[in-house]
Amino acid sequence: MPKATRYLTGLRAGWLLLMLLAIVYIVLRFSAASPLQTNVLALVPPTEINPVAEHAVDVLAQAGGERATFLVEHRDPFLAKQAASRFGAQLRGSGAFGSVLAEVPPFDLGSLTALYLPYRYQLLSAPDRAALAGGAHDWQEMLTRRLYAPFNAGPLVPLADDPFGWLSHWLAGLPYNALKLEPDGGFLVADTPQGSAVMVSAALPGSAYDTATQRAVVLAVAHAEAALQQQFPGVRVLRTGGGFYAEQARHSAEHDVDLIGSASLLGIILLMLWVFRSPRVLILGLLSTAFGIAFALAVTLAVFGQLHLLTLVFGASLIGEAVDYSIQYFVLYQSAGRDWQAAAGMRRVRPALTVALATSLVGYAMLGCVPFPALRQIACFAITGIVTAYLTAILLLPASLARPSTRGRPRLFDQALSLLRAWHRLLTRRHARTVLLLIALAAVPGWMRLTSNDDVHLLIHLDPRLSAQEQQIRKAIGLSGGAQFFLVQGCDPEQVLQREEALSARLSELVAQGRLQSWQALSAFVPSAARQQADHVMLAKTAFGDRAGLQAALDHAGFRQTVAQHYLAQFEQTVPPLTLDTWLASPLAQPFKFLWLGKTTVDKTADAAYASLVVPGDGPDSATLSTAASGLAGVTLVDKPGSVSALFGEYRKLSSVWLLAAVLMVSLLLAWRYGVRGGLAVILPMIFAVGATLALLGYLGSELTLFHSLALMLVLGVGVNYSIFLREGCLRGDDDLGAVFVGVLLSAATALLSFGMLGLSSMPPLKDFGMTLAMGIALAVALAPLGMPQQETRR
Amino acid sequence: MARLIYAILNFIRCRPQGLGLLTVLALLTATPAWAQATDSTLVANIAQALGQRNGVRADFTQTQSLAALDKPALSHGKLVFARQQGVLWQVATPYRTTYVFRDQQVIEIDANGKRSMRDSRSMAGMRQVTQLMRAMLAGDVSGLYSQFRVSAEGTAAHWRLQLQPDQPQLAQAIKGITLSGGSFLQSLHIDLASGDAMQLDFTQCEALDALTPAEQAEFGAP
Repeated sequence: MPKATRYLTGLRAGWLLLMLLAIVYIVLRFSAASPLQTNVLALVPPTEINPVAEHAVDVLAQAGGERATFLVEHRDPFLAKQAASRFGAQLRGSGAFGSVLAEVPPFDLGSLTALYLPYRYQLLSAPDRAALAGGAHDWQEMLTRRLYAPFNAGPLVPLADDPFGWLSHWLAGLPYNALKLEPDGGFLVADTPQGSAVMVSAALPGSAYDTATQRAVVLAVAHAEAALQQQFPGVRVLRTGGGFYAEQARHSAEHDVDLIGSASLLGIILLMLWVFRSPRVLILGLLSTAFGIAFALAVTLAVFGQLHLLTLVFGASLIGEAVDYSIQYFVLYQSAGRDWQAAAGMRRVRPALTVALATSLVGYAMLGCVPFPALRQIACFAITGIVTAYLTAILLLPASLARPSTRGRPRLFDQALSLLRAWHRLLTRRHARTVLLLIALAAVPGWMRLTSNDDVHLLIHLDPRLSAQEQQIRKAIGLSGGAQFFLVQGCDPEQVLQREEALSARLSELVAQGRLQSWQALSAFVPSAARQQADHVMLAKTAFGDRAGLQAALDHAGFRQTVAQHYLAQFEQTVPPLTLDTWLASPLAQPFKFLWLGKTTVDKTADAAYASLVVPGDGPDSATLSTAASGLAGVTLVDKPGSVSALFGEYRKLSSVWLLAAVLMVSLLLAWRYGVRGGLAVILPMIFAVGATLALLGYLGSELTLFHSLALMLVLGVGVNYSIFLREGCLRGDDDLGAVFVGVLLSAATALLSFGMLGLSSMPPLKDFGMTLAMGIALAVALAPLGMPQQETRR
Repeated sequence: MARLIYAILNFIRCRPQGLGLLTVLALLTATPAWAQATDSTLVANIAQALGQRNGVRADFTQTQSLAALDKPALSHGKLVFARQQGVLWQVATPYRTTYVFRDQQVIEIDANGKRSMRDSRSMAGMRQVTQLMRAMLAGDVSGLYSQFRVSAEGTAAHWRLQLQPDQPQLAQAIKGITLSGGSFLQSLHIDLASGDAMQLDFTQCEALDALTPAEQAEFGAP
């Protein structure tokens, strides 16, 4: 046995072993915790210049994802509560949740007073501060109104400690009341138009993106809801939480993978059986594709650690392209009949395969250069997949198809050849040129109609039922905001609070103008030391500057001497300001703790050592908010959806440059192989296909996204293969051109099948991607014969 | 947990006096159409009768016994309770002002007729009260029982209701409520957990057939 052959045998064995290892690796990875990633945020690169902002986005997203919130709604308020209790018990019993809370323990009313009482001489509500600053005070009237107004003398602060009500007003102004939920009979209840809605909240035992957690949660909720419907007819359960969205996204992606994968696989099997009528050929074709996909999966998992759903769905459609290399070899095998020599056959077809691979790689490599995690993953997957499919074809096919085909040269090849010749003649006629020119002219208005939309929400397909429920829940319990927030940074907590107060002043203007509902900020609970000092000075100058007047008013209202004296004397006590740490240590801070990022380790600049969040409610757009933050030191508006959308737009615009660059690179490659004229002949049909696809998109009214651009790049990479195969077939100068054309048509059919199926995907970006590719490839294959040398068909 | 505490704190805004008062306002419309009855049927009878009266007008005297004060704080005025519109609380002494309660809003009309909206959120907790009122007006007393332990004694001509908070949350603020009356509610006494107390005495009670134009105006546009 010659040395070269032995070497080749070893190589083949090694290759098979490598594929086996890849498959074992995949099985191992998928049998452990699922490496599937459904989090959309993981798709996009960091968008914030400020690293603390990026960190804050993660913190907020995580906090939101790990909770599930339910509203149990019933016309009858009492039945609603009973149903909520039952629902909570069901969820608890399911074991799917870490904790479930339906009934709330009674809350100690005194703790709020106890926390703030020591600081009562330095905390003023905004209206009181304004009133005191305004001058002219009737202390007596203030006392009268406080004593006699119905519902005014609440039990919050003992009258003796706060006769004028300044602390009570301050407590009443705390932003605890943004929620419309109220405790009622041990439940948290909100009134809705449909009756009464009781909140049940639950914590997920793991990540919202963990498949097992999602499944358990969705199942438990479905069971509990079904049981509830039986027991309490007319009850309605609304739900929201990151887990439900993630489960929905995973579910629909899996459905896509199943549908697209199996449909394109079935299509390919039927097509190949029809053309080749040989199970052996079919199995070999599928094997090279399977190897491509498996190795791509293994490499992507190894490189990125996880697999995004988008990659997986895209990967399922790669089947259509990976099979192309084998097909070109198979048609040659079939056309050769008894004269078949496996190794020589491969030598003949290899240049075509290599040029085709090179152009495809250029297309995918452009994708890989984009600093966009999802696209990099797709590029890595695609490049590995097609290189593997190519190598598998080259290494394994000759050995597996050593014996000649027993079937003669199929008549199909002759039919294809006549079709090709007829089509080529038609395309190269003078009139055809005119028609093509006219089509190109007709494309111009299509281009003019093109619009674009870079909204990140296009990337996310939210289940409409889930988002409707979320809207209802948010409306019922008065939740708002979340997508945008301000990051406030400072050298110490005091500076952070002062900067928050500067921001709050701007935001209260927006509230006064009716453009903003509310906002959440720590400084609303703990004013800066400077503000507390100023409020104390305000009281000292106004009320306590008029001690005689205060005393007289207290006497007149009937306050006991001891009470009045104590109240006046206490003002003299020096009290250190209420600090953020004191407040944070109290359970009262719990609902707002997430606003405090504390000492950040991400940004070590001294001026930005501490950070907090200020979260505005719904209403204003990011332009309004960004105006509110402008010019304020240490305040940054973080608008993650906005900045991701902006990033998409940027890349979409850049992508036309990449497309040009790719055209240029492919042209150079082709010119090197076929000469300038030949190269142009091969590339021009593709440029025409891309242009016409764009025009079609314009006429269809599609809004261009980054994903359309990426698809066009692939039209170039995949479509040019068809021209190449045909031209290489002509260059080989024998009579297998019909076979080559059958191969091209078969490749195009499989590509159309898989990318067309992608157009059925429920994920908007994949849908755009698939549709664009399908249109582009249909045009590319139709125009591919233009790339053949002129004289070839006239022989 | 976070959102829970958030919401619980909201309850702080509930004014227990308001709770007691409005509960009783609902009772004000009662026509004691019962003779001899057990506690629950007595209360049920009150509630059932509620649906039959459109509203009540009465003079009130409010006596607040507050630990911080030497002597009780007294105020007088007029109360108008209309089922459709809400409540007018017209204080005559020691200062003249009117509070209008309708839907979930509180509007203050000062002596000069200037209307100002009080923060309606400060009336959070009225939810339960209005719900209770609505239920009782429909003759359903289960709402009352869900908030209080109720004991009743007396006859149609002279009755007494004792309400003991049944919820720990409510018990932190209110020790108990005592109501007494005959064909109308005559007095209401609220003992607060802090030791303070409030007494409301009603005189000149009369059934309300229709609002006067002045009252209509105070309620504002329908």
